Amino acid sequence: MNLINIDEPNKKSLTSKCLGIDFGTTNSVCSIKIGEKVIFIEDSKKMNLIPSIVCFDKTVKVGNDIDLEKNLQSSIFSIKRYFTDNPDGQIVINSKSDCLSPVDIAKEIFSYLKKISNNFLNEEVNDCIITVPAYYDERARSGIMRSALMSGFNVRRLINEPTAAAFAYGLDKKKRGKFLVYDLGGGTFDISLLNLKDNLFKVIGTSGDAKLGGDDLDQLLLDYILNTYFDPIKNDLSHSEILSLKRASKSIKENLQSVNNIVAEVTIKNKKTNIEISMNVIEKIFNEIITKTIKITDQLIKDCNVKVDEIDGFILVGGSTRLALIPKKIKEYFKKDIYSEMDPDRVVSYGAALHGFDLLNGSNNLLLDVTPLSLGIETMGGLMEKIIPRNSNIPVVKEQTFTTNENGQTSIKISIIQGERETSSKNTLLGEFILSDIEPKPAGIPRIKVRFSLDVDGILYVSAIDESSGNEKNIVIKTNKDLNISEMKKLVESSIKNAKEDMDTRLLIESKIKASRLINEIENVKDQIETLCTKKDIENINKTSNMLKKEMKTNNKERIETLTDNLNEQTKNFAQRLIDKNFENFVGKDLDILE
Amino acid sequence: MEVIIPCWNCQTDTKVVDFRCSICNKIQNIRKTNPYDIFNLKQCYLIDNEELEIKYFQLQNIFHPDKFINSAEKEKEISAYESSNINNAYNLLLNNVDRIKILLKLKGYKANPNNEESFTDKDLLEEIMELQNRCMSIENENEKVKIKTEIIEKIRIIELEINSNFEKEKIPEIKNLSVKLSYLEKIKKNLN
Ligand SMILES: [Zn+2]
Repeated sequence: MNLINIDEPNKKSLTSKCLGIDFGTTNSVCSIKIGEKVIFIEDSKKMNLIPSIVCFDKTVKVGNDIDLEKNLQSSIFSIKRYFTDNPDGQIVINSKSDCLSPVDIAKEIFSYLKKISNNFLNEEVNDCIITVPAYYDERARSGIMRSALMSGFNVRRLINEPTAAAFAYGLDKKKRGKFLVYDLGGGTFDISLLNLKDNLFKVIGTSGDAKLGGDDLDQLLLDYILNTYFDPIKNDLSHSEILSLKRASKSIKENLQSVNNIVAEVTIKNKKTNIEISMNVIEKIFNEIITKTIKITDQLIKDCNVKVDEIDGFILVGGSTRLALIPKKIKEYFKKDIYSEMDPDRVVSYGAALHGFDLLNGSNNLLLDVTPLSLGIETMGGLMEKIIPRNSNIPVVKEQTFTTNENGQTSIKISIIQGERETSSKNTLLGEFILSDIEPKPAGIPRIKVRFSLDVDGILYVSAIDESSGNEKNIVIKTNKDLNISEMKKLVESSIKNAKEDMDTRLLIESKIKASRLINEIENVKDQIETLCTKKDIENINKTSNMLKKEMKTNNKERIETLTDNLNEQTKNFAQRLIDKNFENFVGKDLDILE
Repeated sequence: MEVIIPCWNCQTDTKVVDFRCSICNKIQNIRKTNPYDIFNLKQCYLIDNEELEIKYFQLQNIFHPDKFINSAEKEKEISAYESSNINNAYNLLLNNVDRIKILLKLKGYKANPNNEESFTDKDLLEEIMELQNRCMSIENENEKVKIKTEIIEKIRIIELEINSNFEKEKIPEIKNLSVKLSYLEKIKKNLN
């Protein structure tokens, strides 16, 4: 009997905690399963829908901490939308034209979420699961992953938003059968077909549009209001006037679920205007977008070889599905039951929290997902050769053998692309890999086996082996200069493992990542350093970078930062010389042409 | 004779139970190369999809990376490798054309390597052409459903024929039917 008493409290403290983070276009939501309950993380204003807004003023502010009336111009909205274009592109963040990438901007949101979670829970929780749109490509996924890792989160999984929602419905509402999860968020539309069984949640297929969301509906309604009620003055409206109209149209959209007609009063330029919107008007304005989502859904059902009769219902997710028109249209077209009893704004985070708990503490539940987009390589003539077709179960490993075109060729360039279009330029370029160190042989003789591994997070890893050389030597793969996900993950894991209780792991990780980036960069230009620097400079650079590498294994943040600064200083001269040299080359070429 | 490979972790030649070493309990590789063996299925052309699915889930329940999130690097590696392996094998077996190739290979025959899509049979060519023409001139949803049902029925009959030819080891017939089957599957897919 005594044993039981001793066992109980122990058991509780043994469960690991894992946050479920829904990083959304409009709002972000964090939750965590503790014991048998899922709780939502609240910020200092006791809110659990955290606006995904970052303001770069004197200090960085996020979410409800921003005073939008004051900081509207310096605030960045909907940063998630930029991940589908280029997570590493540059965005102007303030009036001084400073730039940051979407990865760096989203990092501020993740850091903030980490901070409010730690405050709310009164302990530092580093482990998390992050949800991403199911239709996101690899580049957007790894961008989100890097962003969260840089904020000091130990990202244990990326899972698809509709999958997380279905998991919540399967566990909490005991839904069983084939369900379509219709997820219309602020910036993305996902549709996933799942088979929900006892302890088993299998995605059959997924589709969507990574650039279609509730934001677009809001914009359409705003345009209608501007054209109908403010046509003569619509170009003279100030930012804050537009913002108040935006808010009015958003609230009209949200309130049209219960009534057929809404009149909203707004004051613009000291004049009161009554905006009247009826369900019929809404239907007309939104028809095109909703029809588009229904078409995508219809095609998915066909692609999955499933009959409409076999489908047990629709699960609605995402704030925009509160719009009564959406369930109405789905019902009209598919004649299926519709479920939306779990809060569409919070169910994704909720499902992620459930899955996160399962992952870290073990469970009988199994979640099987697919990749939304085909993965392939560019062949001669700019066509795409598919290697991993869309809706393949993940993880998946596929191998492809490459050979050389010319005698004695020692390297091959491979472009990896993702998407469904035939022409590779219309798809997303994930990366260009250069296989080097191939043993020189006659054309067509080398056999380089390249392995493409798409892991359960939807992140791609590429490795290669030169089979023809007999000994299975690994080929060097050069990619972009930044750290890859697995390097970053290891950094985060080791920092957390060795961190002292009272240390801020986030800052430590940030300094480590900065240091590794610099080391990486230097390794990449090693040859140029040797030709452009003096012996003494080279010695110093090598010495500092070796010291830094050693220090990286410790957790001495100050030392790492000092050495990084030193190394930066030492390579500054070199960087200048490199720019000069490139300029010389450029000038030289120009003159040649003139001759 | 069964080849005994020692456990990668404790190096003992012990029994492997449910893919785990009975001494140190570490996960082991599946060590099977053909999809039928991976799922422990009888090497027949017609398979029970439900049985396959159940076995697929059982294996993924053992090997899926979600089950190894706190494990050491080597176990994670085995999990990722075998989980993909299981996915690939599962998809191959679900595909009625791939299944022909696997079985031919298992029985020691070469599956049509390059001339996979060439027609040796004139009647077959005509039949396919006619079907394709009908698909091109579909005018309404009803007609589409009708043709689709027809094609599905044709596929079902061919599968039965292939199965009985495998039992009788009539290899040339199988190869011919395999060409027809892959064309029908393609037409069916294009109807979506
Ligand atoms: Zn062992």
